[in-house]
Amino acid sequence: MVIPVLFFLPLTLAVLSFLMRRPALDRYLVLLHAMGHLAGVAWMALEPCSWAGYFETDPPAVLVLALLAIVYLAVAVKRFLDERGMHHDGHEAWHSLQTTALMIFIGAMTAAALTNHAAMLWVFVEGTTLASAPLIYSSRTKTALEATWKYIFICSIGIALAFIGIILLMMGMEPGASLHFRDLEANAGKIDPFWLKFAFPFILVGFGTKAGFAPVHAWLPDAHSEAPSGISALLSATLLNTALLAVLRFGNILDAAGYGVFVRDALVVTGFLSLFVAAVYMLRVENYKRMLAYSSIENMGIMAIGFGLGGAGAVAAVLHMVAHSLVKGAFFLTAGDILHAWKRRDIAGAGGVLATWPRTGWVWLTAFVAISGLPPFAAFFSEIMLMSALLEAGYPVLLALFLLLLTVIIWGMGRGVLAVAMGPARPDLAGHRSSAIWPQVLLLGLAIAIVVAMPQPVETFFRDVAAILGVNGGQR
Amino acid sequence: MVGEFVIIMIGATMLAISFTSRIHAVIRALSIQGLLLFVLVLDDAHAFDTINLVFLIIETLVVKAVVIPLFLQRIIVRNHIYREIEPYIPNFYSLLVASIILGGGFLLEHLSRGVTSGTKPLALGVSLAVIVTALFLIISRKKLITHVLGFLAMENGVFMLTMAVAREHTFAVNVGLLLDVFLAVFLLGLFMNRIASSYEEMSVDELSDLKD
Repeated sequence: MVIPVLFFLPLTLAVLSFLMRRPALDRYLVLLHAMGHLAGVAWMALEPCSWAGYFETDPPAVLVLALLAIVYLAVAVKRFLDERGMHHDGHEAWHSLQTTALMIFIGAMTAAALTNHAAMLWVFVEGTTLASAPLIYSSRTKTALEATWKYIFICSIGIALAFIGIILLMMGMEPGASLHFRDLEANAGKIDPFWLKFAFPFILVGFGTKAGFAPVHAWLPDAHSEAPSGISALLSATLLNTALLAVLRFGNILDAAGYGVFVRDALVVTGFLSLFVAAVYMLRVENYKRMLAYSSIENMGIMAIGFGLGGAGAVAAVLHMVAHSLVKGAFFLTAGDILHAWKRRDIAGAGGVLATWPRTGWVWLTAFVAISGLPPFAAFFSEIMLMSALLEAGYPVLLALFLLLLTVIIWGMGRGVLAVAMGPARPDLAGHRSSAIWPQVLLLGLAIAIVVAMPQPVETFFRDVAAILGVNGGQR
Repeated sequence: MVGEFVIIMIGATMLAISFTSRIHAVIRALSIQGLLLFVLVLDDAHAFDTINLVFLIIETLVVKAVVIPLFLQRIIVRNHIYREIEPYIPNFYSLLVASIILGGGFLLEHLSRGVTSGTKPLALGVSLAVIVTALFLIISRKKLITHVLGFLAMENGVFMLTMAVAREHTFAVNVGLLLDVFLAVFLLGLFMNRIASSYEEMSVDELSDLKD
């Protein structure tokens, strides 16, 4: 019964918001949805359930949804606090449309994570693109228009390629065979290997476009920098996970058919390509929100490598997914606070945060420490685990490359982060009401707590997810 | 026999699209593709049950051949888009590349003849050629409207591909496909109206404010 609630709650609230057109009410509706969503996901985590034959909970779905629920709640609470007393005169209809699109976006991601059917998965990933397009266009500026156009267009091409992949997969199947992932995996051996291998690159590139893998990441920095920061946080911390989940679910079919090595190689190459692209752009990026977007490409690359390696690498990737979502959510929300007061997106124009608003400045720096993989944050443990997995799998050269690229990325990013934090105070902004920081602090705290005090059930759960999603047949 | 002829005709329309420099000619070619796909559906009519058949006929004859072309015409008139297509490379080379891709499609047909069981190799080869040609046309043209047109040609290729696979999933697959085409074109059209009011010329060269 929980699953239909998770679908119909956002739909009901979205319709309500659209009809009422009252921004003051929207704050409460979003908060209500976020709390309801978290409660529903918590329920599902404790009690596996299924609905209508097309939706069911499995550990990977619960993980992606739990991260979605936590980040969404943080975004909703932050919005609730920051929009207090804000007026939207003349923009009520647009504001309600934004709220409606946000709820449908969350609903589509939830459905994409929960579905157990290949075609349904495609439909809902497509739905996330359509629902999030108006969110990226939120500010209605010329640059937002450019970002939205690129987002819709590139993701539409990507999703069409994923569709071709699914069709090619169907060509290799017996007529009338079911498209449920469970059946696909069970009958993987009966699928014609030619079509199976032909289909996977299309699926990797198609869903990989949404997951932010290089070289099909072009929409990502634009969309992340132009969207309101709460939306950037959701795109980065939740949408990318959902798309990655889609790639891995199809990868599992090949894995079950005995072509794990093929999937492993594809994922590891994609991962390193993403790291490389992130490293190159990190050195020249001049906009701090775009800098965070390139960091997302980097982290998706790390996850791709981990899941591709399987075994311990997959456990590292699961932990990294958790670490990245929590920290990147906090990072984007803080970037939004800086943008809100400084009104500048470029690194050079946004100096002096630490001196002007010490608390926001410290959260900003802490988020950087957390994303760079320094202890005691979760990313430290996941990256160490991944490095040892690389070594164990017999890739010392790749390990060296990994360390080199990571160093370049941290150096490039550190430069930008420090330039924003340091510098003379801006007394003209000191009087500006500082935005709420505790949603970010909680996210960062969770990124420490999850590893420092990991309860046994959570550890078992992570291992379950890794065992399902990782490429098991890819071991030498 | 009719089916194979139609499939090759669809491949030929892509050559025409790659060679023309007029937007209206491309829209007309897309409309013709819709009609050809309709004939393709009719040729296979016995394979579908009534609901699927009605749905497929509406999708091809109404949506692809009439509604979307009319919608595009309206966007063009409303936004005063010039008629020239403005490619990055001369039309002749476009035609050359499109021909090579189509040739590759026939080669794929030849190669996959032994591998495929139950699927039509010709439909597979040509539809993949249509998709790749459409992608090529998208990257070699400047105007945003031609990108949308390329996207539609690509979706027509995907439609052909779906016609070549198992009948059992036709309905679900086509609902998804129609959703994709309809909403994407609608959204893109909506944003194109906005772009027309913010940018002087509607070409990708202008969408360069966001970069590193």
